[in-house]
Amino acid sequence: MNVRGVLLAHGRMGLRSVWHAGRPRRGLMPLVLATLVASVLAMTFTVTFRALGAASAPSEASARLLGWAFTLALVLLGLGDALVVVSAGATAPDLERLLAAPLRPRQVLSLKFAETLPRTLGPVLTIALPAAVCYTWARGGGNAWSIAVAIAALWAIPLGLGSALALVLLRLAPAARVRESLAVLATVAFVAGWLANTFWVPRLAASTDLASLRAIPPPPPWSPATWAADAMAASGARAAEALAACGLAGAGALVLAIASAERLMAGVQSRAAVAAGSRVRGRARRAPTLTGAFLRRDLALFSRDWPVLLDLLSRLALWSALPLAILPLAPLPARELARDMLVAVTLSLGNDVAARALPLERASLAWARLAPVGGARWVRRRALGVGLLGVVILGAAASIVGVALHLSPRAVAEAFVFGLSAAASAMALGLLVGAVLGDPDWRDPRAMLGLGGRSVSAATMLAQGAVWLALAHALGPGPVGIGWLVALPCLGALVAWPVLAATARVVERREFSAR
Amino acid sequence: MAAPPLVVEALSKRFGSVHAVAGLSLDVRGGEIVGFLGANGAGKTTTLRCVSGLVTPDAGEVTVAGASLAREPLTAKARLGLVPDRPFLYERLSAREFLAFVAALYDLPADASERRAEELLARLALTEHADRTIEGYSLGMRQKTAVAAALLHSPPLLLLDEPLNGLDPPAARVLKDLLREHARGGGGVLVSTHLLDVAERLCDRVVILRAGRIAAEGTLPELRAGRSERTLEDVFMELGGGGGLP
Repeated sequence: MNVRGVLLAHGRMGLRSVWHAGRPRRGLMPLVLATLVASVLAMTFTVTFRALGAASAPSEASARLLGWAFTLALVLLGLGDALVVVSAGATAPDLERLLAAPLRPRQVLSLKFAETLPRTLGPVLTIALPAAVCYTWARGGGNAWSIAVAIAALWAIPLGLGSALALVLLRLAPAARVRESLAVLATVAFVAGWLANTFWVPRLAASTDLASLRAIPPPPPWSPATWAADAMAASGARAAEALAACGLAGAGALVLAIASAERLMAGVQSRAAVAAGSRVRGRARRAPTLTGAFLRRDLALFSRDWPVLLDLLSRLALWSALPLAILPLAPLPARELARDMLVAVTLSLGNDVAARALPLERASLAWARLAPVGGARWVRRRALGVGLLGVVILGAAASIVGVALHLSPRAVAEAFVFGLSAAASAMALGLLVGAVLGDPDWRDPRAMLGLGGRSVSAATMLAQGAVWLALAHALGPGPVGIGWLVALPCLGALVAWPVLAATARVVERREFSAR
Repeated sequence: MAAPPLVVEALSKRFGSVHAVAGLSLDVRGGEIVGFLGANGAGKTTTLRCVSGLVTPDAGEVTVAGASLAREPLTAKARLGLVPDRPFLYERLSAREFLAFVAALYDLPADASERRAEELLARLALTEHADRTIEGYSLGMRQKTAVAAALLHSPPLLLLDEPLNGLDPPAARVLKDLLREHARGGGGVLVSTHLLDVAERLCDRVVILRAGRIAAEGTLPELRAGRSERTLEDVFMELGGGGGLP
C-alpha cells in the first residue's frame, strides 16, 4: 500500500477542509484572523518583554513570563488536541474505512495527525511562536534551533498526550459521550484562560513600576512548558538540558500516542459504532400551535445538549463578569456599571445563543424549506425562542447585578430595559451571522460557526455593543427619563426588524443540495 | 378530475459548470408508482430536491397536485412528502417528539396526527424505540423515522430518494406495502433507487435518467420493446448504465 501517498492525500484533505471551511474560499478568513491574533499577541509580548528590560528586571522575570505563556498554551492545546483527535478520528465517517484498509493503527493515527495538522498546529503558531520570537527579539538569548525545538515540543506533547488520553477514553465510553465531555473540559480550560487573561493581565499592565510582573512566581518546574522556556532563556548546561528534555518529552508523547493506537485503536471502532441515545420522559404530544411546537423543540434541543448548555452558561458568566474585571482600573457609578454588565451579557446572548440557534438545527434546517411554513415564519419562531431565553437570562442577570450593586428596583428596571433593547439588536445580528456562517456539520459545540464565523460574530457583537455602551454612558449616572425607556426598546426593535427579515431571506434561499 | 400529483416541465439546474438536470420533463399520475433510475450523478437526487423545494431550479416548472411550486410554494409543499437520501432528523428529539413537531409544521389536527403517527410507528416497528432520542438510532431506524414523517400528512405526492438504504428485509417489505397502499389511495409516488429488481417489481412505470436528461421512460413491457426476455437491468445497461455526468 502507498502509505506515503495516503498520508499526503490526508494532509491535503485537512488543508482543503480548513481552506474551504464548508464553503469555497471561506478559509481565507481564519488565516487572516489567525495572522491578526498572532500579530496582536506579538505586539503584547514585545511591549511586555521590552518594558521588563527597560525596568532592569532580572532576566528570570521574563523567562518566568515566557514559561507561563507556554504553560497556558500547553493546557489549552492538550484539551483542544484531544477533542480534535476524537472529533476527527473516532467520530469521523471515514474511520471504519481506514480501519478496514491494510493499515497499521499507527499509520491510521499518522493519517489523522496529517489531516488535523492545520487545526493542531494553528494555535501553536498563533500563541506560542509569537511569545518565543518576541522573547528572543526583546531580551536576546535563544536561537532559531532552540525556538524550533521548543515550538515542536509544545506541538508534539499536547498532541501525543491528548491522543493517548482520547484513545483511553474511547475504550471506556461511546465516542459521542467522550467528545461531549472533552468539549466541556475544553470550555472549562477556556474559561480559566479567559479569567486569567481578563483579571490578571490588565492589573499587570496597570502597575507602573512593573512590580507585579517582577514578582510573578515561576511556573511548575516539572512542566514541559517550563523546559521549553528554559531552553530559550537559560544559558549553558541548563539550556542544553532543557532542550534535551523538550525533545525527549515531545518524542515520548508521540511514541506514547503510537503505542496507545497500536493497543487500543481496534477497540475504538466498535465503541465508535455504539450510539448513545437516551429515553425521553413523558409522552410527546403535538403542541396546540406552531409557536408552541417550536418552543418545545427548542427547549428539548438546548436542554439535552449539555455541552452546548454548559458552554453557553460559562460564556454568559464570563461576559457579565467582564465589566467587573476592569472596574478597579476604571471606576464607574453603579447605574452605569449595571448597564455595562447587562450590555456585556447581551453580547453573549448574540454571540453564543442567537448565532448558534440555526446551526444547532444542523441539516434539519432543511425543514424550513421543505415544510409549508416559509423561511420568515421559521426565523420569527426561532427568534421568539431565542428571545424568551434572552429575557429570562437578562432578568436573572439584572436581579443579580441589582443585589450585588445595591440598586433600587427602579434602577434595576432601567438597566433591564436598557439590556433588553441592546439584546434585540445583538440577538437579531447573531441569528443573521449564524444563518450565513453556520456550519451544519459541526462536531465541537464551540465550532458551530467555524473560526471565521466566530470571529465575524464576535466582531459584529463588539461593534454593536460599543454603540450601546456609548449610549449607556451618554445617559449618565442618574435616573433615566421615561422617554428614553420607551425610545430605547423602539431603537432595538428598529435594528432587529430588518436584520430578522434579512435572516429569513438567507434561510429561504439556502439550498440543500446533496453536493 | 383531480390534478396529477406531479408535473415537471423543462426542469434545469446547474452547479457551476455541471449541468445536473437539463430540461427534464416528467409526470406522476394518481395511483402510480414511478421508478427513477440512473447511474450515480445522473441527476436523480437533484431532481427530487428541486421538486421538493430544497433546491431552486434555474429553469422549468414544477406543479404538485395542481399547485405551482414557484407561485404557491406553501400549498405545493403541503401536498408532498420527501424521504431524502440522508434523513433530516433532530438528533436530540425522540421519534415521537419529531413526528409531533412535523405534525405542527403541516398544521395537522392533534388527535388525528397522533393516531396516524402511532399507526406508522407500529407498522414500521418503531413503537418500542419511539421515546428514545434519535441520536441512538441505527441507519435503518432513521430511515423509518423519515418515512413516517413523509407519510404523516398523507400527501398526494410522495418522493423517496433511495428509501431502502439501511432497511432490513422486513422493513423493506413494510415500506413497499406502504407505497402500494399510498398509490391505491390515489397518491403518486416517485422513487429513486439503485435496486433494479425492486423497481421491476414495485413500479408501474420507470424513468431512466442519464446526464440530467431522460434516456427512456415507460412501463416495463414498453421498455422491453417486445423482447420479453430482456430484464430491466438489460434495458438500464443499454440506456442509462453507461455513466452519469459527462
